[in-house]
Order: sequence, then structure tokens, then C-alpha cells
Amino acid sequence: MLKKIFYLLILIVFAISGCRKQIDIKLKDTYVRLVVDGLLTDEYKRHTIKLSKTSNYFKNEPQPMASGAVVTISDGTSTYALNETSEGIYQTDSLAGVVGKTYTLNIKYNGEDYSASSMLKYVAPMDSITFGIDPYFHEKATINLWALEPATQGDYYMWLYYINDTLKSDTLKRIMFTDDMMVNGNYIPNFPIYSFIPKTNDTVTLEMRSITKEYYDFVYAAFLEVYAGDPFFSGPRANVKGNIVNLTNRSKDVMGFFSTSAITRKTRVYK
Amino acid sequence: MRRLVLYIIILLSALNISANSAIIPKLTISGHVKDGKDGEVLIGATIYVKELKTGTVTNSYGFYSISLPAGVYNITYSYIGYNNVFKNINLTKDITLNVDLEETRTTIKEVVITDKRIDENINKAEMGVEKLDAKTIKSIPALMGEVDVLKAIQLLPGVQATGDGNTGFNVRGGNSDQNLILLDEATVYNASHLLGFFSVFNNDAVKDIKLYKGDIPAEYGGRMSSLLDIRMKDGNMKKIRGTGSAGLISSRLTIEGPIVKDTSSFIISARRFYGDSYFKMFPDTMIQDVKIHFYDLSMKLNYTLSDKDRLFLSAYFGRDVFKFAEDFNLNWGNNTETFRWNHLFSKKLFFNLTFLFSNYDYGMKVEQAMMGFKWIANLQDYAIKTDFTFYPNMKNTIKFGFISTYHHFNPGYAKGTEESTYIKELKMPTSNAMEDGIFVCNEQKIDSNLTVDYGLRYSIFQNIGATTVYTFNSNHESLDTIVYEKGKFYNTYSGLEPRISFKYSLNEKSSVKGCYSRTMQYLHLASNSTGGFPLDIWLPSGPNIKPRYCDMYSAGYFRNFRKNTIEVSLETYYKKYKNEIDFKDHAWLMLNQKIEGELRFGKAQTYGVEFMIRKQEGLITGWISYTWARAFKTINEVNDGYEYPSNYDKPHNVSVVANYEITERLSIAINWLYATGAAVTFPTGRFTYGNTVIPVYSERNSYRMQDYHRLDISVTLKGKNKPGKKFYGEWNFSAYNAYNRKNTWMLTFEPDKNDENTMIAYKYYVLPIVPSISYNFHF
Repeated sequence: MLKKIFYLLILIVFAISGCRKQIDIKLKDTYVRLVVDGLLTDEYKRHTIKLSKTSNYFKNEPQPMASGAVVTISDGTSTYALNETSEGIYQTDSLAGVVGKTYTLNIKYNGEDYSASSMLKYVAPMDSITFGIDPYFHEKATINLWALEPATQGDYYMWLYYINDTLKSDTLKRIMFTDDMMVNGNYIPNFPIYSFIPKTNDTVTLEMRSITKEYYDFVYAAFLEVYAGDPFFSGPRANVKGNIVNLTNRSKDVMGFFSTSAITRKTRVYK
Repeated sequence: MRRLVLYIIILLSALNISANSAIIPKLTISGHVKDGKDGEVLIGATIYVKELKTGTVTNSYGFYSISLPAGVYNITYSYIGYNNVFKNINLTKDITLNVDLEETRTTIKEVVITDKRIDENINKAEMGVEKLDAKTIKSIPALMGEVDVLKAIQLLPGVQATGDGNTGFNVRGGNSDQNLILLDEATVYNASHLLGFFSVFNNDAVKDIKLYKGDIPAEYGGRMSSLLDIRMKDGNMKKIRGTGSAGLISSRLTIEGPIVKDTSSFIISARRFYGDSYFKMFPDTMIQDVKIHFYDLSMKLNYTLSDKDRLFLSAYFGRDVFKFAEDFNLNWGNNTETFRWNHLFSKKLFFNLTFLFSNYDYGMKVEQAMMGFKWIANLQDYAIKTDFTFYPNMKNTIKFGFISTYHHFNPGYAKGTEESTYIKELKMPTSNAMEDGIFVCNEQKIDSNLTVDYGLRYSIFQNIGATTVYTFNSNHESLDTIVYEKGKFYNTYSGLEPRISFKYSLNEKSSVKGCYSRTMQYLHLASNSTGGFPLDIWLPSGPNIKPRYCDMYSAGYFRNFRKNTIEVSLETYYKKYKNEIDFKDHAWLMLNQKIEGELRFGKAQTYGVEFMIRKQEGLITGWISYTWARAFKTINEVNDGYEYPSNYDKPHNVSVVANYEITERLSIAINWLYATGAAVTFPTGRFTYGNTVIPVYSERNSYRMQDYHRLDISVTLKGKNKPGKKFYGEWNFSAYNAYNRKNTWMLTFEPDKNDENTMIAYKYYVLPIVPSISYNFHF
């Protein structure tokens, strides 16, 4: 929410005084790092770990995938092997993560070992979702959340939304996430999470995920790096560091994140 | 503590020696030097005794005292821009001599130059000091005609703006929170209006500013890098006068005058910015609804009780308001108050008692049924200061005293505005601290060539409850808190801050100087912003934050040409900072109870060379300066612990400031500045996560922004000067960034609208050519 206000401020400053111009910059090159994009949830399904590689910044094409890795996920007692179903896409057999367990991702790629751990946290249920009107853009509708935030401090949430089963919050820019700092233990009535351009009879689904503090920090950092490179709030630019470690060579960076979430959903038809 | 005692003994014995050697009885001439027209005291006016080739200067209250053996003397009183006054004195007993100087009215006439004036540039031991008076500041072209003290000092060598058009400044590689800004001795915590585009100081109420870039007198403390000492006008002692201006975006009015002629005076100065009235012209309704304005009010009362006693009361109040779409309101402001009593215990002992108050606060309010909340924060200082200036003999000027400040910190309190809001209360722990400093210093003229200034400050900082202190483990995670009850002194830091400088005259025209100083800082500004954003959080030193300190070494060569009208200086410095603070990557500083866990500590070093040539008299006045300066930090866990250039590391800086009086009525002023682009971090690679391209960086600040340069021009046309005329007006036409350079304000990398995989670099620039017109008047 604070994020939103700051965004508005920046917008105003530029609307008033700013001019923007496309420029050419020559950037240096760097070594190739492994990139992990993985998620394990408490839903019974095939979970996916995507492995790719970094490239030059202005390469301007999809990232090269990392193929031929050996990928496993372990919960301390059992280890599940993942199969490469297409280039760089590794999937488990159908299984459901268990709340409270810590999962470890192990990757062997190009002779180097990588590892990451994450705890699957409980997510409180949503009571319902309703629709409202966006206070700033009146042609838009909001998806409002009704839920009780548990009294334990240090809960972190991420929301996604679907319209007619199509994921709309499909990039980091569009994803909403928060901590419970200002709302801990409160009943959250009618709180707008997303804005969308509504059509009658659209089926709207709001998905709420529990996330770890480490993942919240990662998404927040990524958000700052990608969308808020301004002199007002974001501070100096710095690498978005995830939870993956290169065990073979600890000084080499690994990008991305292996996250775990419990998931809850509510669906409502827009009338 | 033992060292302190030892030092005082040495100091006292040094005085003893000089006192013993001066057995011949000394008589004292003392008094005030004032502007004859309005009765304003003149700070830094020089008093030169021809027969002894020595002299002194007036202090911040226009007071001087000089002790001489009985005899006949020719004494010259002088001040830049004023005609000299010569006095022939047969000194047989102590005398009080108040002198009025008259301003050099007709500038077109050849200025009478005297080689009798002692020149501070080459004769004082202090170095790294820059002085500007209100008149000089006024002659510098300004953004939208809004004359600005802080913009003016950014043109001085060793001083850099934090951003384009910004009033924030860095001195000799120091962070902007390392500048002590004093308005009549009261600390101003946030000197910016309108996100930093203007400063809080109304130049019409300013008499004189002095910037200490390193050799900060022992009398002052609490900041490591600089002291900006701003003195407000006392008010016209002779008759009611007014000054004002009407501009496109703001208007000002100042009224000053005597309450009782030659005894008491007042000055009141107000300013209102209304630039947001133009937003109505924007087609976008969102912008039409935006309200941005500020106002400020400065006021001073001055009462001369007797030749021995004077009282001053000065106050400043300023506020910015930023409203958006009716439900968003952000406002911030400073309030300072100073009460002072000057007293002369004897002709040789000048005493000053000051009570100070300072408050900086901001508030943000969002009025919405569901997500409405209110956020307030403030910082308050109450201080008492006493200082004595003792003029025991011609060779020594001793200052001593103490200052004791009580700080109250309220870093933030947020609360839902309505019953229905889902936001509950969020409270950052408030806390208090005492910051004390005792100081003693002496300016000692050892012989006609060598002058030494030496001083010592002992500072103590004590944290006081009631508060909650978070404890952190080595991973900067807070697992526990300690609660301290009200009034409990729970943590103490202290330190010695020695300062010494010397001047050695090579001949009548040139001198060399050297200086060492240690400065300590107990307050730290947590801000990720370089944009003058008002949501400042000042963190006191305490269990989690050690005091920062800085050792500075500097040396310089000073030379005057053409009968002291041209001053040249070359200075070099090296500074070493300990316990320097930076923030962890992607730090979250606002409304964060565990904010101390976002800090990382290390060291810093800065060094540089400053060259300046300055002409203060004649038809063309101004200066040219060149600075080469570097600034580096080494912070644990930032940049993998390797040294990196600071954000404000801008190696080459040039500024040219010139004012040419073409005729009595017409003058033209220009300034041009150049600075190497700031050090920044750019991507070297990228990866995709969550369908989003995220950059990969190499070392911090390993790239440079484009170089910055800009030319400003202004033309001033004064009304005809007829005898008997009471109202004087002048038109000012100015152009900021006259050749419309598109200086980068920020640089971003954004995905192409149609293809998330294609990244494009954009630069944003905020201040193109800004023409402006304003009408200034005085009566």
C-alpha cells in the first residue's frame, strides 16, 4: 500500500516536470550464472522448477535454458527426483507439499552443486472476495479481500488473480505482496488487492499464497530493481539475491529463488 | 578524560607564558562595528592598527576587542563593499569605540582600495572557510528567480549538489547528513522546500553565511563534514524599511525597522510559493488536483539594553504542503527559535547565553474508508549554550563554553484514521538523548608571521529512556527487545575532538596554512533518497550504532594580488571516516521498527584539491573554482565488502560565477558549472524470473552518469535613482540552464511496451531551460 503511494508521488513529479528520452548505453559483460525459478505448493500436482542462464543485458531475446541438470527435492525424509519435460523445465511427479515442512532443492549442473531450502508456511483462509470501484481509475473494478489475519507476527502474503482461468498477474510488476506489519491480527474487511477492467459474467479468481520472509525480501528487491529505479526511494541499485547457493564455488552468484507456498483461492462472477 | 585535563593544563600554561611576556600594561579598545545606514552589526569587519601592523575582526555579533600598550594609533575599520573609516586615537585608558561604516554607494566609481586592510584570506589561521553575504548571494542567477543560500554555496569549491536543482549538498565527499546547518545557532534538520528544489532560507532575512568545510571551530560539533552558519539580519535600527518581490511562482515581503530608534529593532520576513496554480493548465485532471505549496516566516527582535547587554530573539517557521486527489496529504516543516543574551563582563570578556529550540516534523494522511491512515514523525531539540570570548591581550583570543542539547526522537507513528480501517496502530519506539559539548579554543598570534588556532571539544552523548531497544544478532535479525524506563540513562558515548590549524605568512601577500581536526557525529540520517524527500528518520547513536568520527588533514597556499582585491587559494585535504554508515541492499527504512538492522557499518575516505580565484571588488566580481575530489566507502556486506566510490564521487568540478555592473542601473550575472557524472551502478547481465527481466550487476558504482553542466544568466535592471525617491524597484530576468542542457536526473531500464524481452535505457531530466521574471522592490 505504501508502495502504491510512493508510486503515485513519482508519477506526479514526472508528470509535472519530467522529460524522458531514450538513450544508448554501452554496458560491460559478465560471467554466466545459473537461474532458478521454482515453486512447490501444498496442492497435489506436478511442481515445476525452471532452470535458465543469465545473458548480456541488452541481448533482448528469451533467456537460454539450462538443460541436462539433475534436480531433486527433499523434505528431510523422502527425496523426489524431477524429470526434464522440456528444455530447462524440470517437473516432479504429482505430489502435495506439507505445511510446516522444510524442502530442500538440490541441483547438479555442469559439474557444480547447487542447493536451496524453504519452509512451507501456513496460509489463513479467505472468507470471501467482493468487487469495488477503483478510487483513482473509476472505470476499473477492484477485487476486495475479506479475511482474518492471524495474530502471529511475521506472516507474508502474495496474491495472484485469474480472469476466466487466465493468469493476469503474470509478471512481478503485476503481483501484489505484503507483510502483516500494519495489519497483524486484524480482520481485513473489503481490502482492495487488484484493479481490473471488468466485463459482466467474467469469472474472477483471487489466489492467496503464504510466502517466507526470504521470498518476500527477494520479490521486494526485484520490484525495486525492475520498477522503481528512482532517486527518491529505492536507494542504490544492487543484485537481487535469492536463496540458492553454489556449493561447489560459494563466491559464484546464483540468481532466482526456490519458494514454497500454501495456497487458497476464492472465485466470484462479476455482475 | 585524563587527556582532556592534560590538554587544558598545557593550554593554560601557554597563556601564562604569553601573559608574562606582556608585562607592559595593556589598554583595550572595544566596541561594535555597524552599518551606518541601518544599524546592522557587521560580522567579520576588520580593525587594523597601522603602527603595530596587527588587528582583529568582529565576531558574529559585530563585537571586537583589541588590547594595546598606551600610545597614539591610526586605526582603520573596513568591510568589503563599505568605505573605510580611519580613527586617530590617543590611547590612555580603556575605551569603547562603536564605528559605523557606510556602504560604497556608487559602484561605477573607481573603488578606493587600501592596502591597509588586513585580509582574512591570508591572515587568519582558519582554512576551508567560505563566506558569502546576502548581497553576493542575491547577485547569483537563481532557478525561477528564487535567490537561494544553499544553491549559492554549491558553487563554492569542495561543495556539490546532491542532484540537479537540489538544495542538498555534499562537502568534501561527506554525506549530506554530515552538514550542520545552523540558523542563528539553531539546528535546521531539513533545509529543503518542495522536494529540495528550494531551500528553507529566505535570502531577504539573511545577513551573512559562513561555510566551514572542515576546520570547524571547537565551539561547534555534532556533524563531521561541515558547518553552515547562517545569521539572520537583526533589523534596521534607524527607520522602517521594506523589501519584497513578486515572481511567477512565489512572492516575498520583508519589513524591518526600529521599535525604539537605535535601541531596538525587528525584522519579519514572509514568503509564499504558489507554483501549483499552473497545474490548472494541465490537461490531465489528476495533475489539476495536485496542490504543492510552501510558506515560511522568519522573525527577529533585537534589543540593546546598554553598551554591555543585548538581547535577541529569532524564530523561523516553514511548512510544505502536498495534496493529491483530496485524500492524500503530505506536509512537513521546520521550526527553530533562538533566544540570546550578549553581555560584556569587561572590555575583554564577551559572554553569550543562548537558548535554542528546533523541531522538524512531517505528517502524511491518506483519507480513505478502508485504507486510510495517518503517519506522523518528528525530532525536537532543546539546547542551552554559553560561550565566552576572552581577549586577554593582543596575541590571544580565547573562547570557551558548553552546549547541552536534549533531543527527542519520534521516528514514526502510524494509525488508521477511521474505525473501519483495517490498519491498526504502528509505533516506532520514541527515544531521547542528551548531547553535551564543552569546548575551549585559542587563536594565538605567536609572532607577526605565525598564528595558531587550537581547540578541544569534549562531547558526550547519552541515550535516555523511555524506549524500547531492539537487539540484533550477527545476521542483523532482531530476536529480542530491551525496554528502558523513563529517565533511564542506558548508554553513553564520549570523545575528544581536537582541532588545530596554523597560518604562516610567507610575505605580506601570501601564506601557507595547515589544519587537523577530528569531528564526531552522534546522529545519523536514514534516507535512501537523494531527492530531498521529506520523510527523514534521524537515528541516534546507541547500543546498535556507534558514533561516527572523521579525521581531516588539510594544507593550503593562499595569496592575494592587486592590493588584496584578488584572492587565490589552493587547498588540499584528506579525510578518514570511521564507523561510517550505509544501508544494506534494498533496505526498508520507513516505518520499520527494526530499522537499525538495515544499517551496515564500515569506513570511508575522501581526498581532493580545491583551487579558487576570487575578486570581491570592482565592476566585475565573482570567482572561478576548480575542485578535484574523490570519495570512497568500504562497508561490510555492501559490494561484497570491497571499496566503492560514493554516490557523490564526482571527481572534476568547475564553477564560474561572475557579476558585471554595466551601468549603475544595469547588471548582468552568469554562472556556469561543470561536474563529472555521479558514480552509478548499471546492469552487466540479466535473468528472467516470474516472466520479468531482472538485472545482474557487477561492482557498485562502477559506471558514471553523463557529465553535468549548466549555464545560468540573469539581468537586473534597477529603477532610476532620483533624490528624494522612497520606493526603489528592479526587474530581474533570468534563465536557468540557459543552453537547455538535458542533464540526467535519473536513468532507468524499462522493457519495451510490446516486448517484455527488449530492454531500453531512458534518461529522465527535470530542469530544462527555465526562464523567469521577477520584480524586486525596497522602500
